Amino acid sequence: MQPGKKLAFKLVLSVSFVTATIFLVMLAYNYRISRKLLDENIRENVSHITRYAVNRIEGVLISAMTIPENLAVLVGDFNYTEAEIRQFLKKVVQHNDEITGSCLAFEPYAFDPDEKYFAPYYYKAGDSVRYENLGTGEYNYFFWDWYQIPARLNTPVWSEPYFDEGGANVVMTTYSVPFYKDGDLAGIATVDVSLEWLKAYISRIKILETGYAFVISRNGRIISHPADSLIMNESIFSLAEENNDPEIRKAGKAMIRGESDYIPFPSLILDEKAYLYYRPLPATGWSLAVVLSEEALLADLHRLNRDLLIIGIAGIFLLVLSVVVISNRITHPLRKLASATVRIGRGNFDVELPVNRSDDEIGQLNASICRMQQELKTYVENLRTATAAREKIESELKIARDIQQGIIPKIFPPFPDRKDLDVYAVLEPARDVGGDLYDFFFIDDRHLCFAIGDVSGKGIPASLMMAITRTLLRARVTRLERPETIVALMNRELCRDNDKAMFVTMFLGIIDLDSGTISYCNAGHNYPCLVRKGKALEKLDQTHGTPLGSFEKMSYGSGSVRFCAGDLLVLYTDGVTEAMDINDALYGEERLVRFLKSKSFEGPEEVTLSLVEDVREFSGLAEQSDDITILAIQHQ
Amino acid sequence: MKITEQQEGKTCIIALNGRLDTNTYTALEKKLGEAFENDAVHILLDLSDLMYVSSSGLRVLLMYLKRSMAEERKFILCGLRENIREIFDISGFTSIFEIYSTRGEALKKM
Repeated sequence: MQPGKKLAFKLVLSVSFVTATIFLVMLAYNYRISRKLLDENIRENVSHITRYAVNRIEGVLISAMTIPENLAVLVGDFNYTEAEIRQFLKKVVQHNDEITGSCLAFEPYAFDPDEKYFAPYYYKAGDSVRYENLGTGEYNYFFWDWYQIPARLNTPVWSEPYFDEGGANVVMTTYSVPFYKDGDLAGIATVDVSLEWLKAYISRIKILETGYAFVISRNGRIISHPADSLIMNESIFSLAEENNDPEIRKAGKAMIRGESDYIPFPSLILDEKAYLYYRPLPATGWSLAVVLSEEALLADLHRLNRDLLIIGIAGIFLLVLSVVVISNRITHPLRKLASATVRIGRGNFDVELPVNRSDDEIGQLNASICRMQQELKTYVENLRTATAAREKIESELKIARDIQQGIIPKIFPPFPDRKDLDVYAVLEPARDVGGDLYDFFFIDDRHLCFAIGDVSGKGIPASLMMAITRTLLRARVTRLERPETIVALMNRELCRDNDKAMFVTMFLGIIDLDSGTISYCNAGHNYPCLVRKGKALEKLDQTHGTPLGSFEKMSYGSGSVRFCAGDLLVLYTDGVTEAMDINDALYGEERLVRFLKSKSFEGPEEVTLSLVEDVREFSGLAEQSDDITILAIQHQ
Repeated sequence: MKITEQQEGKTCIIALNGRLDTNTYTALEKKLGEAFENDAVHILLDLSDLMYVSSSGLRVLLMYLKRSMAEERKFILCGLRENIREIFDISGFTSIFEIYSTRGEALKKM
């Protein structure tokens, strides 16, 4: 999988999982409820169908039953002749479609004291009605069930259905009603009912596609069933035996007891799970049963579920498809944006960003990255311009610094011919151009003029001021004069048109090498240190006036000090005493004094360089903020 | 550096807190410029909390001292710490500025 496709994959996974779960739960719930409703519905339906069927069957049987009952009353109450009885019976058989035959069988010698048998019987044979007297020597009807059972029980009886082999080859049943004369049994009136119509009727009952009905007799014999081979040949109990199924036997018993129920039941002709609904036929003691295949029962439900499943899967597929499309629509511009921003990050600001004008979050992101690109571009261009400008300024500053450094004496020893004097100086410029200066030169053979100064502020103005000051000094000192005179003169020059109040602190001295004295004027500069031969240290701590350029009317004084052979004068600017370490602590005058006292120095060069070293050591990693200038002069 | 300003009659009292050096002198220059433009006649700089002053800072003070002299205003300093006082002594500025040890003392001279 591409790394950029992860979002889409995650979305698809979670969306399809959640929807599939919801869908399956709904499907299961729907199945359960539908099945319950269906069950109730079918049960009710079957109940209606069977009640209707029972009524129909009973209707036929009851109308057949009234015939022998009426006959019994008539024959019992009146005395008919044989001709009248035969006429009567024939008409009954002719005019009642539901019966196939009828008989009035009398008790021995009951009709005619001379005749043992009298049993006139009319029956249908094709279109005609035939007569037969059943009572012959071969056929002693008194011992047949249809006669004997009602006679003994003194009650009308439906016979077990039987197969009428000699006659119409159909299943028949006979209803026998005993009749009485003067309170004594006089005979039995019967009707034969063919069960062909029942078979036809039962086979027409179709419930759902594969459901069927059957009827069993009082004894459990199958008397009507869609499978012909079972009729009269099997009983529900023999089938139970064959299938070795106690459930069938149990159901059979309940049926012949005249009960009614709806139970799961193994179908006798459908080789599948089924349900059995049975209901009694009270007139005959038979039972009507309906068998329903579970599959047919649930076919609609299963079809519904299958359709739902297909719709659901199609729905989830569509959902996943739309999630893929949407997430691609989201991530595609995101991927493009990501790769564009990577290129922008590498500094390629002209990368073409994908166009996305939609007002959704992606569109907003797109727009803000577009803005960022423009702003970055402008910013970097500005930065480039500024950097170029700064580089230009820096290079100019470097030139300025070089010029500044160039106007102060830097060749040491400066007076190699002179054995009585040694001078050394350093000017360590800070990063910004500073305004420190020093200078020294002989006015004549015995007088050395020296000066050290520090212009207020930094940068170009300071360095310009420094250059002016140094030029003034050289221009003004052409002959031997008092240091305070020189300083006052320079002060006046520097005060002219000095709106910005730039000033220069200056210590200016003149050494008389012959007499071993220094006369000096200190215009607001740090006090120099005089290290006497033998380590004693003197500070020239006099200020004779304000710095040059600060106050036009300032009158300067002067001082004088002995400067013998071996004495070492150390002058410095505040770059030394105000050098800072990383904690902003100052180097300070105390440390300077301690350092100068700490050992004896061989000469100006050593004291200068080791002092610079000490200051650097003190500052550590802190940046040098001001020029460090040291001028050391030794009388030898 | 923090600069606080307070008006007391015709005197504008400006107090400095921190270091007055290359990085901060422009702020003071601006503040003093404003004070000189306003109605305040006199300026009192309270340096009690000033820890350090560089030559750039001294230049600003000098500039406004000169301006106050030209405009006949008073430009007074007070409350200099020892190290600041030393810098003023060495540079000779003690002789041209009017300096008092406390604000109260300075205000009496206004």
